[in-house]
Amino acid sequence: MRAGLIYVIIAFGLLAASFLKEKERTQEAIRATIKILYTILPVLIFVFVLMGVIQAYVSRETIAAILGEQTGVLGILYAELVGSVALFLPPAVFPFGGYLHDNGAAYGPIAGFVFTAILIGMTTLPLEFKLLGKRFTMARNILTFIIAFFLAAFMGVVLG
Amino acid sequence: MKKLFRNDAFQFLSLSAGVTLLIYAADVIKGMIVARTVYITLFDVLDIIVAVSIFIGLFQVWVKPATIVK
Repeated sequence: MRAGLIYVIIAFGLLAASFLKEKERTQEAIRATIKILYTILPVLIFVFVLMGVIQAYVSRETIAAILGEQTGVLGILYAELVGSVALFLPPAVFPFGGYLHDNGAAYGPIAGFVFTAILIGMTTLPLEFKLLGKRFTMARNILTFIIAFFLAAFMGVVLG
Repeated sequence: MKKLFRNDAFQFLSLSAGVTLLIYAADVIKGMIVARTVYITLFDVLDIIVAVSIFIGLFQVWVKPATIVK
């Protein structure tokens, strides 16, 4: 049985339990769910289109040459830089990471990409500056980039 | 109409459709590769996305901020 199907069964089971306990709150939960899906799905579709464009125009050999096993430290750095500026929501990061892996990228660069895509936001820097201050923002993003590099390198060694 | 164009979902979906159609017009086979990638990947992850969205929706209404702070 697919993992996704198990999650769906659990999710609808919890929804049913919620409905039995309190109908109004469940309706509120469903409205919140629809709002989340409305926000996430269009961005996801756009990311999948980007994946399709890369699939159509960038050969497996090119991806492997930039992000493959033999690229070592540079591959991780490239992947981290791409992840830092990518406008990906977290749900889109993993399918894209999976796609890169299927097309020749090594685990180290993929890990670097995933870490920075989720944890670093070049495009959300202004918002982070405003809400959390310049010092916190710079420290968090720079430290995250450095730590992500070492984690990705370690993962690359461990996962081969 | 102005409100529709400013809507994020509309912008992303329009961009997605626009890019796909542009590539399809330039090269039918590459356009089909793009469309196929979107179709396969979307239906591969849709179940998990729906499930996680339901979890988050339920979490938002059943777990109040005060509880999280505690």
